[in-house]
Amino acid sequence: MSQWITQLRKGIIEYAILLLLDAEENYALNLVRRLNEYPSLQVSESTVYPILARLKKESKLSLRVVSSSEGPPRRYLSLSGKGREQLKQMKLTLEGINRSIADIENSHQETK
Amino acid sequence: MNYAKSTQNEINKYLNAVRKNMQHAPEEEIDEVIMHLQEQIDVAVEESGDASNESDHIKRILSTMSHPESFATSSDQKSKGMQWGVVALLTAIVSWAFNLGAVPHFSLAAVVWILLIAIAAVAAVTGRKTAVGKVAIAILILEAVSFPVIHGLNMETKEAKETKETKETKQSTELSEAAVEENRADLTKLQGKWTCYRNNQRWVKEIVGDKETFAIFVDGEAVYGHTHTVKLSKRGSVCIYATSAGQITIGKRKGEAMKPFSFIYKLNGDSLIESLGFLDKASNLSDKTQIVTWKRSTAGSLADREQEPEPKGSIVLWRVGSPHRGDTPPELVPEYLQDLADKQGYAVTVRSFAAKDFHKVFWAAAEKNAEPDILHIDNGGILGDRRRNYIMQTDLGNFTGISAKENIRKSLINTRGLGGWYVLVSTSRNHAKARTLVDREPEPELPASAQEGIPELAPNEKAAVSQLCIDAFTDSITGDDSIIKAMADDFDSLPVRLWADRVDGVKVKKVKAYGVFGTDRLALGLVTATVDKPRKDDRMAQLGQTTTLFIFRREHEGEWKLIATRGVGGWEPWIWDMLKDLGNAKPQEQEAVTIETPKLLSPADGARRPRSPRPDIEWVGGGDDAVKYVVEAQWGSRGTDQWYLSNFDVFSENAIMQGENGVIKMGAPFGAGAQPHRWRVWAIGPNGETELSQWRRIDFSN
Repeated sequence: MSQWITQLRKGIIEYAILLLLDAEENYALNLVRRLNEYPSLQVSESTVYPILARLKKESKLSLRVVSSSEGPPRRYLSLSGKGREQLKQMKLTLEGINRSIADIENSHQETK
Repeated sequence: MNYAKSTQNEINKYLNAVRKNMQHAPEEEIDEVIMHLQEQIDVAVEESGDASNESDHIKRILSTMSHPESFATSSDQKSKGMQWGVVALLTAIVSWAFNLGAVPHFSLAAVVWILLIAIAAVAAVTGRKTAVGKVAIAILILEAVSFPVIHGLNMETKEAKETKETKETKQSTELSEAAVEENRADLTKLQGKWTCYRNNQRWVKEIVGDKETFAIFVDGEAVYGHTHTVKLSKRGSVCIYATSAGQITIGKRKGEAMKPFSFIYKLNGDSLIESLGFLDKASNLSDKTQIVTWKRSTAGSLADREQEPEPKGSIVLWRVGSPHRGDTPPELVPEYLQDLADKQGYAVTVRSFAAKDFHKVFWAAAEKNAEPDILHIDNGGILGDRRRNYIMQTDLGNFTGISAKENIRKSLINTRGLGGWYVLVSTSRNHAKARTLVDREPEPELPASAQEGIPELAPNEKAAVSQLCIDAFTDSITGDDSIIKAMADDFDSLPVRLWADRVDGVKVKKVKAYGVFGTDRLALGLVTATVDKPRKDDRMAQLGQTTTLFIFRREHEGEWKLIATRGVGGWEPWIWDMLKDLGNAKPQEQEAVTIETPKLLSPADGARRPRSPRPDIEWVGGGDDAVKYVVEAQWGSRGTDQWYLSNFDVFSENAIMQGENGVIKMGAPFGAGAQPHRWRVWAIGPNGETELSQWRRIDFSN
């Protein structure tokens, strides 16, 4: 069971990251904090940072470095066109899965 | 951010471990993860508000972050699992060979066999998810089950058995004789007097023969003591220190008998480390487990019961723990301070204390002129604040600051440039020596990486700007503004922080300009100097190095004009971001461009806005040729027209989104507190042409 949850969360975390970055640009640490506001999505940086690194390598994220004399520079990430496209595809896929699961559950109810 | 060398080493150690665990990931991805982690560390340091920049502090931060192994990719983990599985399988097979008697007998065969089983078991559990790991587990279980069967059937002849028993007895006797000899040698080494410091207590013990006499001193008074008999033994490689026939000799329980107790010890030259509470409770001392490190003492016998003098001429450093954590710092000289002392050829003696009742220890020492030369703290509550009546309240209780006594208050000198919060004590015995660690030649270092891609000034211009920087700095500390006014582009735009707290008698020593770079239109320079500032009112005297940044612009072949300045921690990457990408240091060969003066659009001048979430700021201008924008912001206080400390945020032209008609909009990158701020925008052209907008005031409401 725990392995199933781990696998499911892995895929969902990437989707959640894209959703957060679609809403506003953010820096990596803040993304971890945002995700941890949701009990079902609690993650550590060792999960989030490699995902961000891969997405950036795949040109799905854009980077903007903002220097600050009040503190360290922040590396702000936002969705690129490719990133938005992936988010759209993921949304469609998830909606499809949800519909199918709902259909199965409904048919199961009817046969009871 | 800049960290002390030791701190940076800690960070690098962590980042290298992460890198190692991600070794099979693409290099580009690893670099990205490392940059996120570095950012996280920087932010954590910033948010903790602890500016001590100590490696201990960083260690605490790193301990809250993901373990480097958790960054291993699943293929790495599988490969590691496989490696463990293979180790488990091989060791399990070899241990089977021992089990079956296939390995010729040798003296430590049993030990090697047990060791093999232990390794196989650990490796098998670690690699249990792999097929080989599972096979290894099966082999080990079979070995355990078959052991009594195989060895029950393995009948030895009487003669062979007797020979074996004789051999074993002989070996055992040899071993025990060796252990006894080692114990005797340890007891010989333990003879004499040992001391250690625990919070405000001084512990002393003396071992003569197998008798130990122990005493605890507070402020030179013996508050507790006992004697007992010592017996040393060994279990494997673990050294045991057992006590018996103990009796309390000093304190409220004087005359009471003590229960025997034992603990683990390690003797290492002139250090004796005791791990108390692991074997049984040292009920007379504490119920908790604790590590006590003793140093061999060269002072006279315990009977003297005098305060042990510090080594003559040694600089005495006292480290004090946090009033929030209740910790006692390690009795170690911080690396940077040790390096400085080594360069001067001075020895440093260190003692550590918890914050609780530290003021009593300090005051008692000061009465005997035994106060430390340097005090290392990480919280101002140790010194105390007049506005709070020198009392600090934390979850651990009330803490009285040492400054509550006027003579102490007047003797304290705050330092700068030692990479932590160090305070000198002007009345201490080796104060002159301690001063030399702070009052030293500036050694500014500008890393080669900082100079990459930065335009160089012509030598004569560099000399001219360097001199301007030194003149401006000296005027800001000891002058009357006349020099700064003469070189200022607009004097009222400069923050007053630099010269707001001028003090009579202040001295600027050993001043040096460095890191002077730029084009013939825009130049930056850093000045580092040692400043010796006497005490004024409630402000502590100050001694140490301070660094200030000065920024100049000029019209073509006109005079350099000072446009901005601020105190900095030294080399900071953002400073050079302003200059990067400007021309190729040969503006005379480039076409001159016209940069438009930025015009601020919103918020309106004097607008009141919440600080969180940050309001947007908008401006237009700069034109197509602008390559950089700088948002400069200063904070003020309500009811005064004074503006303090400029902050600069540098943006590349391609890093900001231009809207219609060249309108640029972004979240305000400033906001020091719920107070007025003013901001302006610089537009910088490819040759360093710099145009400045007017200032606008924004009043933050939260």
